[in-house]
Amino acid sequence: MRNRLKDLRAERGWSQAHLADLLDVSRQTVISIENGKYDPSLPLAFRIARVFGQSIETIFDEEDAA
Amino acid sequence: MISDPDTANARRLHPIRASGTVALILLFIFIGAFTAFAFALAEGEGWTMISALAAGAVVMFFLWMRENHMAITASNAARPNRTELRTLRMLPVQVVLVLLYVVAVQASAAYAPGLSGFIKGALQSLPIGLLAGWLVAFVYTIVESDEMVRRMQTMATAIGAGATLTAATVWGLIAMHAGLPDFASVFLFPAFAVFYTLAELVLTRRFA
Repeated sequence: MRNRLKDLRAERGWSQAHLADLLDVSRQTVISIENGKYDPSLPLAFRIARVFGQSIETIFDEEDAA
Repeated sequence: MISDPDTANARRLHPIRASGTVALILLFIFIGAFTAFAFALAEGEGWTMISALAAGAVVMFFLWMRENHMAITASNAARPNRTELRTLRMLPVQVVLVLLYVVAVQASAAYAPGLSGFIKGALQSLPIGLLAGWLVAFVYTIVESDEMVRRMQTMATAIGAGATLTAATVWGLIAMHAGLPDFASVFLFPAFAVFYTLAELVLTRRFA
C-alpha cells in the first residue's frame, strides 16, 4: 500500500530509528512500511496517524493495494 | 545539503567489514554441514570432522559477533531500538544452543552407556535442556518482537516445519528402497532450526 510516511518523516526531520522508537516497532518495520512491502495492522496505523497528527486516509493510499 | 542519516553509511568502511557477512554465511554453512556429518557419525572416526566443523563454527560465530558489536558501537551508528536489540541478542544464543544440542546428542549416545547415577542422567537429559533453552529463546523473540517481525517469524516457522517434514519424509521413502539408514528423529530439531534460519534470511530480504 502506497503511503506518505517517508515524506511526513522528512518534513519533521526524523530518522527511521526515531520514528521506530515513537511507534514502538523495529526500524525494519518502518523501512518495510515506507517501501510498501508491509501494510501495518490497524492499531499500528492508528499510532502512525496519531504520531503525525493526521488521519489514516491522508497517510495511506489504498488505491495501490488492489 | 545535509545527507539523509538513514541512507548514509552507518559506519566508516572497515578493512574487515565484509568478514562479518562472510562469517555469518559460513557459520550457517558450518551448521548445515555439522548436522549432516552428525547424522553419519562413525564410531570414533567422525569426531575429527565434527570437532573441526564445530571449531570452525565457533570461530565464525565469534567473528560475526565482533563485527556486529563494531557496527552497533560505531560512533556514527544509529542505536538499534529495544525490539531489534532483543532479536540481535537471541539469534546468537539460538545458534549456540543448536550446535550444543547436536554435540550433546552425540555425547549422550557415546558416553552415557558407560556412566551411572546422576552423571548418566544429567548427560542423557542435557539435549532436552538445550532444546528447551532454544524453545524459550524462540518464543521470547516471537513474543517480544513487533508485528512485522512476528509475522516474518511465523512464516519462517511454517516454512521451516514444512521443509523439515518434507525432507524427513523424502529421506524415509528413499531409505526404504535404497537401504540407507533411517533419519534419526533426534535430529529433526536441528534440521528445523537450519530451515527456519534460511527461511528467515529470505523473508528478511523480501520485506526489506
